[in-house]
Amino acid sequence: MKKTLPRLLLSLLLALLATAALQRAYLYRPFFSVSLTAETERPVTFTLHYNGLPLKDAVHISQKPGRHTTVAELRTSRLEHLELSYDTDLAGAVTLHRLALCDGGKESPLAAAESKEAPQRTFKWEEPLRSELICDTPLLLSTFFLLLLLFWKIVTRFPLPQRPQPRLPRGKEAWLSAAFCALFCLILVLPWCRIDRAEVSEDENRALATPPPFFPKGQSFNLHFGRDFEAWFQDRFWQRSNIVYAYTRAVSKADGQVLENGAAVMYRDSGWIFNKEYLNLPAPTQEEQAAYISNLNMLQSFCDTHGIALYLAVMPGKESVYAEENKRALTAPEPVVRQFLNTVGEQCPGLTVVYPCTEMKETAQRDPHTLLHYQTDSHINEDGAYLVAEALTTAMNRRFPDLKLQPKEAFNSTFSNQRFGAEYKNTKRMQEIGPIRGDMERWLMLHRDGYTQQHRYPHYSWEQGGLTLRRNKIPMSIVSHFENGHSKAVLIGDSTTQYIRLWLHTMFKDMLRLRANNNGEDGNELRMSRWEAQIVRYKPDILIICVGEGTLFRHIATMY
Amino acid sequence: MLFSSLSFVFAFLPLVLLLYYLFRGTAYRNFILLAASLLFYAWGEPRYLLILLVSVTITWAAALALTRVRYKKLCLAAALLADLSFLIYFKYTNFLLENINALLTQPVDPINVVMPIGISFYTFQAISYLMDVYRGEVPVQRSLYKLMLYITLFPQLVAGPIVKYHDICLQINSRQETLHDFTCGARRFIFGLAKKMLIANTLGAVADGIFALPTAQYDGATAWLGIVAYCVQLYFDFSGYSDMAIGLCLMFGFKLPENFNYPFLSCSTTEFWRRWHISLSTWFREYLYFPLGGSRVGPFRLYLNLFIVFMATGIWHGASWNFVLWGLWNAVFVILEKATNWPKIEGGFAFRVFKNVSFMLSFLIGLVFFRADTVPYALDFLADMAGCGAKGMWAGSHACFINPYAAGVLLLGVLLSFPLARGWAYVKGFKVSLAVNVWCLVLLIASWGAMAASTYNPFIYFRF
Repeated sequence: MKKTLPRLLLSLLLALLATAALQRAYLYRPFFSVSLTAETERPVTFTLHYNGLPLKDAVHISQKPGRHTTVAELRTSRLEHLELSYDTDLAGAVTLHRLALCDGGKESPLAAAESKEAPQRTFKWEEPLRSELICDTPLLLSTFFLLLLLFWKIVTRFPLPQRPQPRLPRGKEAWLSAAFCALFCLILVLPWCRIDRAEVSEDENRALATPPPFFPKGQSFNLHFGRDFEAWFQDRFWQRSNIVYAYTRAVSKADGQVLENGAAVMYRDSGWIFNKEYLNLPAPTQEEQAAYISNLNMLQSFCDTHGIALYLAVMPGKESVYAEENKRALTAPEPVVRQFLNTVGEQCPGLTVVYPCTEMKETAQRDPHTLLHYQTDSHINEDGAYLVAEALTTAMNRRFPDLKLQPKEAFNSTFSNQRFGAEYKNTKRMQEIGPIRGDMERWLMLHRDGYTQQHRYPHYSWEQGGLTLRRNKIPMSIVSHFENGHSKAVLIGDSTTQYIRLWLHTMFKDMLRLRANNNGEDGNELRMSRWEAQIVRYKPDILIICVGEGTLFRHIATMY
Repeated sequence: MLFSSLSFVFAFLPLVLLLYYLFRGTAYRNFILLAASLLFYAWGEPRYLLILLVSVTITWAAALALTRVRYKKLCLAAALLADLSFLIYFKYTNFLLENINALLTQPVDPINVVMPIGISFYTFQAISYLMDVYRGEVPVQRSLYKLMLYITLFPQLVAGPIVKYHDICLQINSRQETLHDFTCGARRFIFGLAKKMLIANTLGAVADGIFALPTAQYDGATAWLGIVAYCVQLYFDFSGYSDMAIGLCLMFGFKLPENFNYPFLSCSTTEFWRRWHISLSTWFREYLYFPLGGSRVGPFRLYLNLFIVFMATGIWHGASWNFVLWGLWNAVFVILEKATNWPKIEGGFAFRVFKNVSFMLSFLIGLVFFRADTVPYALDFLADMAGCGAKGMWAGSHACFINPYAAGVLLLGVLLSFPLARGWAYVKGFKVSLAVNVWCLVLLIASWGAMAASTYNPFIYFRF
């Protein structure tokens, strides 16, 4: 008895666990099935969602016209929600004769749908169902008994442990070893002292990983449990941010004053980062310049055809405005850009170019405490964008004298001590695409707040227009409407439009902002062909193309 | 699961240690280790567990058959073929197809497979067991679960050392865990972790930054910086992993053979392979070189044997022409050394330094093929190293890739490549032990910080 009881208990425990796992994983599946009969005029793919999950393989009802029936298996024991839909472009082409939910061969009458015809394209079943067919008690008990036998067989093969022979440390050195081992083990369990339950990390501006389910809803087993657990634990162990901060601080002590990598150069004393892609900007060759001007002329003729005034606003970059802060032998892009824009002015009649680099440099020298660019981000900031907006307004007033730029004081602004603009707020993006990597990233992490407070966050609301702008929203297009404004405008450009738009939307009665580089499906190109029809429909008075100085050539090159 | 991941160090390891020492008796402890090893393997990709289990079962059944059937050679050949077929299918099929396609007018589509982690290591361990049983050096293991434990023991499962069956078979049946062994194991594990997290990863960032760029964008000095940083990274990465594996095994009472013995002290390629990845070179020696005839053959056959062994070593590291060329590079040097008796030529300290420097030069040049993604890139990189690149030998571009911290780590890495801290994990004496223990705890906390601060952290040797 003394030998049998522990073995029996262990076998029972193992059998219980294995039965539970088997029951969840296998005994219930595949359990429900959906049979679908439909008549189609052309091949159609039906998509079936159950319990909020898509069926792995879409239900192909037909590869050729006619009436067909197909059956799909749902790998779940509990059906809470079922939804069937099909391609909406095939209106009238589909007649759904029967949708039936089968439960182990028995058709559930509640779930049957008869002769549903297009255009009703979605069928939902939301009453929870739990199968009772396979997973019955005798079956479970049999499984348990068989597993118990199996584990009993395994467990009895092992000899029971011998009487323990205590190995207590003796002498000073042995006690030292014991203390070391105890401390070692203590450190190994320290991260579990407290698991962070926050939903987001403010420092990293991202959601923290959630606890991974071992049996996700509607699935038998989470094959990525290990990876998910790792992500969850990495995000939430005890004192995570303090440990990262302390380590980073210690390592950063050894970094040099000038941090440089292939993409950027950073000056620790002043905090400026300059993007190498924008420095040493190569002047376009004659062929390239001819192609660029040709593109601009094509755009101009499009605008002339539709009676639209065209403006090209080039945002001076910090590589030009704060060129003095850059101590390395890297040339500012201003001369190259200015020379090109002069040529554009000569060869593109009708196109008005705005490039207030000189004005911004003067402002930067006059008031060094108000920064016009983010120090650690390639973007112009709101103050810098306001200067461009002023220059643009002056240019537009020649033809549209009613347009008036609102003073900054008219806006309800909030301030933040964040030093980053849009692109380096997110740590993940910093690692993946930003020029800030390794030691630069480390340095910035140490100074994530409180270094400079010049950044004014786009957190505006304007009572008269009832328009509230929220942070970190970069949709493809934004439509603004302001009763007291004048004219109608379309603003197209890269991410710099995000900043100038804040000021411009209160000038126009209606404004449509279209963003080129939203990193979405449309890529980074400022391709006009995708917007021309939309512009014609919108019927604007003004079209403003707004791009950063460093990306000017790239955008014009891809315009047509 | 990686040894240097937070979930291993702070979740998996303490849990396994707790369960292991909660039970007494080798049988229970073996069972816990086996369960932990299977969980360890299944953690990242559970599907590959089946391949591992099938491979082990085939090996076990084949070894049993070897003791019973008449045609032992045939049985061994079939078993080896079965084991190797997994390796060939998962690791080399696409490489073979790629090369066959180059000759065909209608190319065959590559197969969509991902190589199971550690397949090169556990396949070699299985072969080691089969060969030992065939030769009658060890008794056949009748227990499947004990054989499974030998092959899947988690500290050495995915990146070695490649433990030969005869080195460990007795320890599976009976071993003794002591406080001293646990202490030494913990120290060794921490040293390995620190090697990986604090040195290899820092230098990895330097090397990766350089090798990620087209060769035209940097000068010769930068190319040298890149390959030296990679050389030190590779050594600390892999020897750190081996230290962790040996330390972990020691914590569980297993004593594994050493895998590195200060390889950068070598004066020849022949000596290098006695000091670098010792378990792999011994494996090839015992299970390939000796069966081919070893050195007890005529000169031509000897050179052919060496050529075959080093080509196999190159191919084992990866399915690409880079590794073939790297193997060839090593083979040429070993054959030349054998022909000229270079390793045995004695001399004074200066001559030894000369031999060491000349060996390191040849090693670094060969290493370019090991690190570069393609052969053309490796050739361009070598041109850069020779100062024949677009930017010449010195254009100051190295400043973009290294900062004072990384430079300090590189220097430390070079220093620690020499036996300055030999045997620190095994020191005795109160004062020395106290100092080493405190140092270990500091390193563990620093490594914890580094682990927390980094997210991308693959071990280089996992891709082999």
